[in-house]
Amino acid sequence: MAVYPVAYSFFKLPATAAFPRGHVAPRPVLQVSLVNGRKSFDCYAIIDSGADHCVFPQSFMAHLGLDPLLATVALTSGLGSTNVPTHFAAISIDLQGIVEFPVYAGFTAGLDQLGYGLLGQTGFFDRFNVGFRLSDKTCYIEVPEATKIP
Amino acid sequence: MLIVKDISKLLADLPKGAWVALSHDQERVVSYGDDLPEVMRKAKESGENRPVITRIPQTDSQTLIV
Repeated sequence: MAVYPVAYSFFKLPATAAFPRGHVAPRPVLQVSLVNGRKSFDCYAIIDSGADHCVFPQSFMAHLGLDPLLATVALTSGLGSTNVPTHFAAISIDLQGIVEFPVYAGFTAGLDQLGYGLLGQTGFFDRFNVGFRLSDKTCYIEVPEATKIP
Repeated sequence: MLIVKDISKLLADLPKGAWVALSHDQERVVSYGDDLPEVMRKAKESGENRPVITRIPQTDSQTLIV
């Protein structure tokens, strides 16, 4: 096993009524590559222990050669939204050339506004041990030595 | 080493809601716009075959509870 540190990203958010001086949101964000056969798509994903699955914006599907109409649909829920159609497909995620692993990933229009994916419990946390240490502005991912996980 | 680059300065002046294609090394903006396929097409036309895609939030409600 090798342990990889991931520096938190700090997003400066604009002032709102609740945060009149704006605020800074620390988020553990990784650049990842989604892989479907010979097609790949490079994007960002938040390491999100609150997500049940790994999910990405639905707009990414076409660039991976995936047809939402042919993908299995599950109705999912997020804060403030329920029964959101999420299209699931078997792809792989390449973690910056360190390791590539298979994931049954969801794609939902609910993430198109965000433009980020979420690395969730099934597919990511069940495969890698993850430690969060915001006081050090770092989280840690324990990755097996194998470069490709079947 | 997992690389995490601070791309906030690259994105600072881009319009809300825009899809953004960054160079694969995440050092420059290659293309941006409202339509992701068009942004991808422009990125590839400019020679960037593996752009990294992100999006500028459309609204000021950017606090995430996911």
